Amino acid sequence: MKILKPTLLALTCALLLAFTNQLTQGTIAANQRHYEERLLREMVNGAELVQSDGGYNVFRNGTQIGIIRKITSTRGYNGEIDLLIALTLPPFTLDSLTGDREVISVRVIRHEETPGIGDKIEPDVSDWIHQFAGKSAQNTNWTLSPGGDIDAISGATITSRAVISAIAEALAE
Amino acid sequence: MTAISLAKDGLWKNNPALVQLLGLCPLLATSNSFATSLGLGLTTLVVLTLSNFTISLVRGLLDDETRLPVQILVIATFVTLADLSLQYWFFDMHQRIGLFVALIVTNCTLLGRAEAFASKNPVISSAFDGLMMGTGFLLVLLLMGTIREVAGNGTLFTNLHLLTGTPDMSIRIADSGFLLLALPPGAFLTLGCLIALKNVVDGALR
Repeated sequence: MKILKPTLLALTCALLLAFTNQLTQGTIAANQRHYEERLLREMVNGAELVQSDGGYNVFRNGTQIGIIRKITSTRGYNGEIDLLIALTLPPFTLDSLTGDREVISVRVIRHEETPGIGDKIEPDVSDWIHQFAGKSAQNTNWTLSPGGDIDAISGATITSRAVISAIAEALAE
Repeated sequence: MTAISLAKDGLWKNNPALVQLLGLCPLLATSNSFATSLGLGLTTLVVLTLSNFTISLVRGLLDDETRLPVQILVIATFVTLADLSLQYWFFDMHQRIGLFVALIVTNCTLLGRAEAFASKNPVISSAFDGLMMGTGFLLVLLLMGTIREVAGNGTLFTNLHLLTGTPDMSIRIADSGFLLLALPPGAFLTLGCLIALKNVVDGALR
């Protein structure tokens, strides 16, 4: 039984991992929540947030000016991409007077894209994610440039498309 | 193998980053600041020591056909444990280096040491070999992180507080830097210069 010893070793490893996961998952989830809350405050520049069904409602001086949705894209290059998207609630807008629903800001909260290439969707790594501010379904051609108004990350077209289509869908909702 | 020769091997003569040129992916990618270098270097050091220890411990149970898969299994287990621990204690740091922590599995230094050393040597010297190789890797990583952060951005110790839990410790040395050094090509340039420097020192000693 050549296979017995490696199997036992594998089983030990699996048990060790399961045990550690059990031990750490509560704190890790809490850490993730804190991190998200900090991002949320950053995204709406200090406006008040009230938890709602699908995310948060954003208030300024008592009036609701926008919403935040947590969205998961399954179309990334590797695994899921979790996004927080803050949108204006018409008729409130950022700078235009069209009354369309606009993007306030977007943040990637969890992803497993390729380090050094796909991770440019993180605001800490590049400014790419900031290009969406102020864009609406109406004022923007949501296809990649040239031809459209959205820049993709070079070398990470699949990652870019996953994020872009998630935002476009949130706007269309 | 005496402890002194193991230490000499890991830190200088057979340094994983400067001589064996293994584990370059994380070395080049995370060495753009001191804090990320320290984070990834320490994680690699711990994982390498533990995996060497464990692989040496079970080396009698394995034959030629099952040795490699089990070695990778052990390494992957410790990397996952390290990943979970980082998320548990240093969540903000994990946000910066998390993607590269998973890549430690593919760091050839680990499988290289497992195969070349730990699978043939007793437990204590294997763990010590891992410790020394890991330290050698960490020191090169730190040196590169320091050079690239100071010369590339004009700062030092940015984000270090994410690891230490103390107030912000970043120091601004210059208003701006030679940005190329902080970007990916700078990693290759810095590493190349360090390897050349080591060869010059070796030549002078000989």
